[in-house]
Amino acid sequence: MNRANFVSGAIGVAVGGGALAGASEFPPDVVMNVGPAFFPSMLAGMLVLASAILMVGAALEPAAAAEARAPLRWSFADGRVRAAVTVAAVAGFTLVLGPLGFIPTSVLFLAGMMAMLGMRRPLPLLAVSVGVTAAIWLIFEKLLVLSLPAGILDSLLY
Amino acid sequence: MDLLLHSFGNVFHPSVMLVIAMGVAVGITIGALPGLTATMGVALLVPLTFGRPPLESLAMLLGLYCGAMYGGSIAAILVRTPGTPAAAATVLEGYPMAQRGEAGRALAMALFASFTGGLTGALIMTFLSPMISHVALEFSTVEYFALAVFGLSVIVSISGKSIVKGLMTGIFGLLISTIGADPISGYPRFIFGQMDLFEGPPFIPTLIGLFAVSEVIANVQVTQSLQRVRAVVDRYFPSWADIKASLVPIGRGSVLGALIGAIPGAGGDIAAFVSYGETKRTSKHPEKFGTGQVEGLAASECANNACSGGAMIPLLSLGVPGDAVTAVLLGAFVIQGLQPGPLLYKDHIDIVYNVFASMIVANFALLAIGLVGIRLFAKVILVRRAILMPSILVLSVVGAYAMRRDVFDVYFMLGCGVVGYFMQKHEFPLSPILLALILGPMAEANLRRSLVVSGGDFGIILTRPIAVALLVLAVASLAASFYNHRKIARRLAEQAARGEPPPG
Amino acid sequence: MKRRSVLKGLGAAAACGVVPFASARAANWPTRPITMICPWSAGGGTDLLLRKLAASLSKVTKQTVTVVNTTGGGGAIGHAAIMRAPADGTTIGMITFELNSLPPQGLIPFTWKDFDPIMRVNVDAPALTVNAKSPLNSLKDFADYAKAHPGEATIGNSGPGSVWHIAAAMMAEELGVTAKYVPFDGAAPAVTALVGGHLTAVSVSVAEVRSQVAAGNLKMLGVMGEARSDLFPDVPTFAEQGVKATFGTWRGIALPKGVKPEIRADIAKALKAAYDDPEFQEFAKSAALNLAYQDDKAFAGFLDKNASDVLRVMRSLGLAKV
Repeated sequence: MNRANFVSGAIGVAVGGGALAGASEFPPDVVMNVGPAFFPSMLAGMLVLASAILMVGAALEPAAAAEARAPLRWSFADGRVRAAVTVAAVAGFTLVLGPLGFIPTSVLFLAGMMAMLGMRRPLPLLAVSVGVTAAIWLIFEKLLVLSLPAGILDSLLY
Repeated sequence: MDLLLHSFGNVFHPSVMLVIAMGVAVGITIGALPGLTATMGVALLVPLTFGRPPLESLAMLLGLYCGAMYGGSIAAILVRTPGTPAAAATVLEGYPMAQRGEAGRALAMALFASFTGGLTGALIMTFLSPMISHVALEFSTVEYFALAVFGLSVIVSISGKSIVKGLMTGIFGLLISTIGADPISGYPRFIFGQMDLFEGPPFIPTLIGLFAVSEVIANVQVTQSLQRVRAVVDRYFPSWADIKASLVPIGRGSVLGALIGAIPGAGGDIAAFVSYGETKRTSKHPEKFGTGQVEGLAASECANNACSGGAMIPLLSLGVPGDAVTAVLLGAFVIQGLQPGPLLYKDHIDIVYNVFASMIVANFALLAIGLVGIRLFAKVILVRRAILMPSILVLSVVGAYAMRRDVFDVYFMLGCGVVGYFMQKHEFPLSPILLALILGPMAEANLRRSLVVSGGDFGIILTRPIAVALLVLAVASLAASFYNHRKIARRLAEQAARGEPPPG
Repeated sequence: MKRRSVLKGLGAAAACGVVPFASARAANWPTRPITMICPWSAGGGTDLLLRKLAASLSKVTKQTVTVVNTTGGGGAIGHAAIMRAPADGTTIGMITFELNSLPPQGLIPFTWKDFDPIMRVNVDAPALTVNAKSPLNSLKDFADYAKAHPGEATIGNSGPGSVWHIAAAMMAEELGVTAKYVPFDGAAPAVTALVGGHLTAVSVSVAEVRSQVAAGNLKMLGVMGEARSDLFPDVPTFAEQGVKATFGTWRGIALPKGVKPEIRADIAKALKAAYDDPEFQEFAKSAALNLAYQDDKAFAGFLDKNASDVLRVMRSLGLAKV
């Protein structure tokens, strides 16, 4: 059995089933017979069907073949941590973007991420963080007149 | 003809040439930045043209339009993020090429294809506008529905190894596209109390999340010892062999792109996917697609640039914008006191020809600036991973945020990044989701509109010949792709049996 | 060359004279940069109008005025942002018609009464427009046609629950006919479909059909505004054809509730000066936006009537939840 495919299929069935249940509560369109629920229900049904096919295929697949074709296993223990930290860092970035402002947030984020990815010398680290931030800020604020949150630098920038 | 030559005289004026070059350069930059689309670029610069002479203003915006269409491919090739939705199909072949160390070759081909496609589109616009615009008006809601179904038939072609997985992601994409206000009744579907989802899943954040963020998540896991591997920037011009291999796909893609562009409401994203799908389907070795085939890259890039010229056709001759960018351009014309449409031809034929000439010149400017630029762009791939990855993330966040100034979109992007990462890890193709997000609303809204008109009778579809033809084509294309897919599987199996390494 | 710069200087001086506010700047406001919230995306009609008004406001107040687009939820997000903005005069918002059409649909938990309206900027009236080849030439023709061919008249609009959807329903209601309302994704595709002959009529604004009417592809049967359109003085209003209703989409300026009266007065004065700026007026004219100033009291009265009209029509359309 190909476990990854089986689980993916199960997720597909669950999503499709959930959508079917959700769509059943949409108001009907008495005139046209084709209301808000028509497309979502049809698609959800198709998703359940396709996912089921994948699950059956995965269940029937001989274990050896599945092993050979299975995608790369987690082999870098620290890699997995780094991926999780990256996701968390982006979420943190978004969280403080408003109150702290784009420039400080971006410099901190860049410096932290670069340090994690192996840039250790402080001077280039800082210079690149500030440089990249400044370039992005200039393009958005000045060239395109799209304002980014100023945050704590509010009084300084205006 | 005299008028056209005279218009070239106007356009060759140094100040006009300068604004075209500026427009192209800004366009390439905007296009290359994920989250900033050609539409947004033009929209942001329209207010700046207020009070400037019409020729200069329009020439700059047209240059920007052409530049942004090419710029989208740069990010697609180098960092696997379509800079604009129209470059989504370019990722399929462009990124594997860059991974192989052929970033320069890919960029050069994208430029060549963009230039050829853009020029073809501009020429078709110059000489065939009146004819094509009448066909475009024939499209009622029924034809739009059929066109969307035809576009969706490409999903099998971009499914990768497993059709079931391709279909699953395609259907999943279509299902997500129904999130938000129902196009006919306005009923909010699957929004879970989030007003941010009322207008549907935010498209640009989805695009950035699925492609850019997922790639960064995968990339940061690679250990540092591998980091020093440096790609070689191989070349800055397309080779003669590449050009020869791509001639037919470029020719077909350019014409397809211009025609799809001319249909109001269908833009470069659809054109690029259809052109790519057709090229893969008719190729002698479809099994190599997805591993960095230069003609696949050429097919998608020429189609989206040819679309620009095509989209100008209904704008100029009917006053009906052909895509989102030309809808904004319509505003730019109005600000200049010009009303695109039949009256423009009657009262301001000089402006019409100036637009034709500007568009043609803009494509040459694109070629010139691009050739210089490639040397610069390609260097991106030489940037240390430790710098590149965090920078891509900051750009992604800003790109997702800028459109609506809504942090919800950034979280949504991050969610898509995580989903995209796991999908890729388990060999689910990502492009079908994008295609579904573009075409799903088009298919549903237009079918339902047709049913409003017919009072719920599906028979209305069969009363429209163009729609029936498109639907038949969709079925044929689907059948051919299925057949093709089996052929690909057989060839790959043969190669494996002979002990050859799989392509790519 | 020299003379031109002298003239420019004179112009600037004159502008200062016209705008006494700029020279005798009150100390109350603005002491800080001003932010204007646009509930619609960059590049759209509302955005363009607000950005021009902001530019003029900046000229008048000599302060930086930044326009931010806070969009989403069909205008719900941006309007909520204006309502919740700090009430210190640093944040001003542009409110639009959707503020009256979202509450009946249960999509926002607040109404215009939760805002402090300052001035109405523009009103665009819809027109009942048909293909130029259509045999219909007046509202009466249209009503007769719709009665003679039940279930065949189709009116295209710009989206479900949108302003022109409501306009279409109001037109049908006033004409005493039934029609099918076909919602499109914005006004442009509906107009295109009408040009292609796939609809009986559209109910979008005069500005949105303007170019096709001028080109002779479409013709307007009647304008639903208070007066005839400046662009097409030949087209009669609904009232002139015996149909009393008037309707239109509107845009105005509002503050979050609770801004101090003296600051509020300064803001209102500055905004009026920005509205009167020739550059702004010139822009609105070239973009075919029908300027329709009202002061705060008149605007509030207008909003009240508009809200109840919209609620009534949305109920009859089955779009209202309350």
